[in-house]
Amino acid sequence: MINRALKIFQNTVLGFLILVFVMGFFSKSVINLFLPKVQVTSAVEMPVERTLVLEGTIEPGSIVKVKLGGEAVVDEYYAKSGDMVNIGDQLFRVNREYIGANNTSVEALELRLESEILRLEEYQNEGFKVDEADIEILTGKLNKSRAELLKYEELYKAGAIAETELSDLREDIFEQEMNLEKSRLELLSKKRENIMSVKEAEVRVKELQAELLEAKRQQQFYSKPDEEGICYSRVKGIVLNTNTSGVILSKEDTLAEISEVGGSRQLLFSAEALGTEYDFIKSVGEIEIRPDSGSSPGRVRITSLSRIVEDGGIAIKGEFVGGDTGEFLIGQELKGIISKRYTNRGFYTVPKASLIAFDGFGEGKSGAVYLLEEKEGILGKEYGAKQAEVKILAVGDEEVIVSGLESYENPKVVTNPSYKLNDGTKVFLWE
Amino acid sequence: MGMRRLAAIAAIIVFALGSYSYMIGKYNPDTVEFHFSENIPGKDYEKIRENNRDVFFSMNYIMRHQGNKLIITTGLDYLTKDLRLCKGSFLADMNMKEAVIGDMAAGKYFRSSSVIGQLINVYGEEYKVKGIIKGSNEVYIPYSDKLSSLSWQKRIIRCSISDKKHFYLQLEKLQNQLEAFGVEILDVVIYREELNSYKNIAILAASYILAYYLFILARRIKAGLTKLEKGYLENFRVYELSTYLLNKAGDLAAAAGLCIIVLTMAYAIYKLISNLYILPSMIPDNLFSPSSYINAVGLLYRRYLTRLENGIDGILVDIKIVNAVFVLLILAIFMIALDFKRRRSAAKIK
Repeated sequence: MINRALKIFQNTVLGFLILVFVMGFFSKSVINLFLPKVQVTSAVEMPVERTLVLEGTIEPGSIVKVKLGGEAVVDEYYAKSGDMVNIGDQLFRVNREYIGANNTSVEALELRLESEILRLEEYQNEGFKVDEADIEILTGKLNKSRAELLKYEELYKAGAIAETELSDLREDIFEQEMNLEKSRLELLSKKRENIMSVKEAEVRVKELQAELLEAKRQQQFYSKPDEEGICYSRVKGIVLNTNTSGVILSKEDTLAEISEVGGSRQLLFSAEALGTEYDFIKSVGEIEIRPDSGSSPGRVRITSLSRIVEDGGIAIKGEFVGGDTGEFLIGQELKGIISKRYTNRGFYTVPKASLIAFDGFGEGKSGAVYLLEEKEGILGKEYGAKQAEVKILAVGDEEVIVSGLESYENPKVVTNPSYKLNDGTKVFLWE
Repeated sequence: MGMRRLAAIAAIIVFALGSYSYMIGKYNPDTVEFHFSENIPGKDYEKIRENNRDVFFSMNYIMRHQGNKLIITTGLDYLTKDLRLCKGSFLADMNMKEAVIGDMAAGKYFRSSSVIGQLINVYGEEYKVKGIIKGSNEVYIPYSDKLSSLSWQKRIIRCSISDKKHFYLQLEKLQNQLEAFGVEILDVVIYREELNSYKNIAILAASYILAYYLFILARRIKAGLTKLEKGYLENFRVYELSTYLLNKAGDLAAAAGLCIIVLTMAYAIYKLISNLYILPSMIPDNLFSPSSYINAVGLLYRRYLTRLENGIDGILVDIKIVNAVFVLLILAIFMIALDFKRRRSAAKIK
């Protein structure tokens, strides 16, 4: 039994020694097989650049929409899309038979308004002196008859007059009272009617004033065909598009669109971007236009930045700085670049890939990076990962400037973080 | 236990541990997958994420697209699984129009080998390739509400719960929050439950070997002590007990050594068994009620049926592959052992 136990002991010791030898020989490479492989880069102080590329188009600065303000049928368009038109050039001819009756004349409305105002004034100034005088007379007569009745009563008591005379006088007084009451009620009714008339006249005046305003607006807004039904351009520009001929077009249909050119009118650059870029675009305020062809680049100052409800994006419009848009054409597709350079002295810049951003990338948001720690171990250099909480100061295209690493000397950040890394995890440096 | 059986069990342990370490190397065991049927609006997702700041979230919508697997992601996928990037890096900033594609997908899109920095077009939008995944046909692009309106085949939220102590509490909280936002959860895949089955096999096999040898050694100790006792009874008139024990010091030391080994083995078995992981859903509500056991099995069966209906993906596919390889290897060992036995019997007959 002792021999057997010794044999087992000998074998165990021998096996252990062989294991130690094998592990010692392959130790580093064997251990490294089970360690998370990391790639690192040095965090350095450097500026970051944020660039946003936009796909946009050239749009006219001002578009005049030609409308008639009533139903109409266009027989023929004289100007086609892309045509240049001057003030007074023929645009289209409408069928006179189909022109709607919506074009109320301003002059007629003005006359109607004037007469209505006069009527209102008449109502307002209307007096009731005659009726009031009648009531006064009736009241005087009644008072006189009442005094007479008192005398008659005394005479009747003295036996000087007959009863019939007294009763006749009483009936007469009653009749006078009735007449007086009737006159008072009639005056009240007239006054009420007058108030109603004044109010009605006021409403009519207001309605006519609104109608007149609309007519004046329409006169400015809608084109008016001449006696032959021909409409003329009131602006100098390029015809962008025309409506269909031979069909009934409604009051609100646009018959032709003209892009104004010349003078203070200029072309606009229009593009869309993701809603999340709003702050960045607003902070830069300028777009650099880079045409694909050999045309010279231009600069656009952003004049309008609005959110699109449907997809949460933003619509950007801007006008060319200096107004020189000679090389660009309406509808031309162009690339616009918005860029900004950020510098934060005293703070490190790390690649975006190294940052575990809990709430996404944005100024002021927090995240974590893993730093490479180097130390001497039994088997030579050993590497470990150390987690560091950071705060984003500026976001570039590929890098971010962060705070929270200032206390580390020449920090190296892991560029391929994974779930295998934890604070203090031993790692294998994958060169 | 013969050497063949020992070798077979040792092979099972090695395979089980190998499978476990392979899967741990590919998937984060702290991850939970929620499969759901309808889109979660971006705002609701953000609210859920903000309510659980100690949990890492990654939402994926998946579909087949031009022969590849198109995935829109909210990012941080590398915190739930090993992406095996061979070039470049994974999507970081979801505001950038960037893509990470598998090498197989890259082969379909591009003819040249320098793919990083090239543009791919997905549903009318151009994305700059930022990284290449080894052995994959996946195409990862950033999540956007616009893209989410497409008809996606799978919708998954992966959560990495680092709080191991309150793992199931956190899981239940997340599930309740998702349901409160009107999310219809189709399936919940808990990675640690899927992965620990390999560890359990290794623990049970190792415990079996230890228990077997513990029993043999215990019998040997008993036999040795019985022999000593018998020897003393035969010679107690010749030797004093102390003299007898001194004469048999070697045998006593051997027995004591064996006792220590037995105790160590018993402790090892205890430690191994305490590392066994039993699914909470597998534990019956009432240990003395047969219906509780039936319910537990029924729950597993229903989950299995759901996965059959909705199809499996990611970790579940890998588990099926590893299981198949595992079973094939065990069968191969079994066949070799049988063949060896047959040849030995044939040699004996000759």
